[in-house]
Amino acid sequence: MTTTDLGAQQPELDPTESPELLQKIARRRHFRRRMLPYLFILPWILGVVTFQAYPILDSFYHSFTIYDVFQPAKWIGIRNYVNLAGNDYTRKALMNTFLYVVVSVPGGLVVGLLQALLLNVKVRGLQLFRTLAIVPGTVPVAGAAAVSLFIWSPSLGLINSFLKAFGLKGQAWLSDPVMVKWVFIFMTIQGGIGMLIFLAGLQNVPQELYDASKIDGAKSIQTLFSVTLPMLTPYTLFNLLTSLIGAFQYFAGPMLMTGGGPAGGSLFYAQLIYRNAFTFFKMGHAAALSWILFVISVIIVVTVFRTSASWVYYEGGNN
Amino acid sequence: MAGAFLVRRSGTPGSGFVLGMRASRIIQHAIAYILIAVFLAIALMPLAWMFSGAFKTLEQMRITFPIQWIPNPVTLQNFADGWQERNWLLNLRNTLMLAVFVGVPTITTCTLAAYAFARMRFPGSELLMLLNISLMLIPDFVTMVPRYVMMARMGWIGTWLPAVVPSMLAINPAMVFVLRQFFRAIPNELSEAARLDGSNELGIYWRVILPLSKPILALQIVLITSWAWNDLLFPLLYLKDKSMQTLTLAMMGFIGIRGDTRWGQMMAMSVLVSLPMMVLSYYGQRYFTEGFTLSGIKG
Repeated sequence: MTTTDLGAQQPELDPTESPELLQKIARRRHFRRRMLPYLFILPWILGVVTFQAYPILDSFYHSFTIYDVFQPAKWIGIRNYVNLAGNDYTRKALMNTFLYVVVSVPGGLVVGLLQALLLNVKVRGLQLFRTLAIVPGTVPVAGAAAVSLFIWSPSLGLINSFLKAFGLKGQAWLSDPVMVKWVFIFMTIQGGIGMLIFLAGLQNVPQELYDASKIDGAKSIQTLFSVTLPMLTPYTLFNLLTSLIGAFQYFAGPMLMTGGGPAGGSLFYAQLIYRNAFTFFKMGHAAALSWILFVISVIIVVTVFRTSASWVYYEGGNN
Repeated sequence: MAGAFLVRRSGTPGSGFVLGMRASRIIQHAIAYILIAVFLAIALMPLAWMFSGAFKTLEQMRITFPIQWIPNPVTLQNFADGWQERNWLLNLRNTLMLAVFVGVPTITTCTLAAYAFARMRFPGSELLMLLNISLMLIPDFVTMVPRYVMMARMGWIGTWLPAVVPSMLAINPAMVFVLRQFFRAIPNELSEAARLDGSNELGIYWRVILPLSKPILALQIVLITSWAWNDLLFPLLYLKDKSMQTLTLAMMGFIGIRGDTRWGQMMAMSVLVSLPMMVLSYYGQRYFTEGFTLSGIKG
């Protein structure tokens, strides 16, 4: 597909002879050049329309219906939304998700930041420590889930062995409906990817700022609050957004380890949608939940970006 | 927190002049070592426990106190037993197939779109890019149900088409964004030189931009492979058939049958499933840092 030498394809005509033809060719060439970018992004446009825009609109429609895939959807108005917290099961999942988001997102940010600061202290062997710190995050979720089950197991688990060493009584962690969510929250906070991003951010803080702060006689703790943390804010913003959105999609861990149990104790939002759609075939209900998630995501993104201007520092002006 | 005191102390000239300062630095480093040790111990403990458990006999595993970190005697029986439980090679093949079926079309169409967004001017490009960025933030679970219904209506459940078709349509806004940031950073002079040599846009894309983007493309390959290795939702919806199950789904079934006698097998299979990803991520790490700094958050 050539776009430049259009004239060369038609050697039998000498365009200079007819100004009309010349104009036509020029116009066509111009048109092709203008259309070319759209050709490059054509698959992307089709994808956005078929697999993003359409599904979002479709789930909006179906959120007002009873739909089980096998029979045509039946319009029921806003009943799916009204009945949302109607059953015990959904209420539990919403409460769990709320707790999970409120604790694990800030917790993960703080722990990730502390881990990154720790791995930024210039001590001997730092490179090795950093490599070791990255390793746990590379374990695939299936492996991590199996090991976690083993570690938290009541009879042969490592955690209970530790407790025993301190003379404490072991717990049946994963079969206790209250304890189980804290296990997942703990796992999320401790093993987040936030550390890596903060660590990358710390490498980009100019040394001059530290030197200047030192000359001014600032203590380490002052430097942390007046130099390091402000310079990290773009990374904090990124981590905050991804972990907030990610928290509503927390799925594989509980699905593999407890399946949401016991008694809905580790049932979170994503799995609630999944169950409604594919276990109970309540597609309408699932669509309503999906739409609520969509609205929540939009609110999160807009709020975070709106407020970000006041706390995120960008070098060379805000952008 | 003590970590706060420890930010960047060394490397500044003159910091060792005063004896008291040097002493305080030694103390700070000692605290840093202790904290790093605690942090790494907590982070690496599950991994150590996985490896240790994989090689333990059942008798030894039953000794919960004191904690047995080193398997003695070392047994390979867990690997033999776990291996027989399932057709793991088939699951491995399916995982790799998923990575290829998603990876090849996604990378092709996403690089094309990213090229247009980064290097061509056209009306609406900024608005569409903004749309792309918004799509990055929309959870998969929002579109999951209608997409599934769509695929079911087409009769595509039980085939590889749900993996291939969306990938052919550049369904990966994050990749489009990252690639576009990377392409933008490539000096324009290079494309201009190629243009003067008679290259058209497709030629510039193929002969200038792609060869210069190897690190970021390598990163995308690592990310997609790791997605195929980790994702649970996609296989759960579309690859449920025994002959199509990926490693994650196979592990789900394997984990599902619990009982204290099976921990050894479970740890052995976790080691086998995890090792390839750990090696890949280790080598992919430098691409991660490289790609991250170049395409970064501060765009």
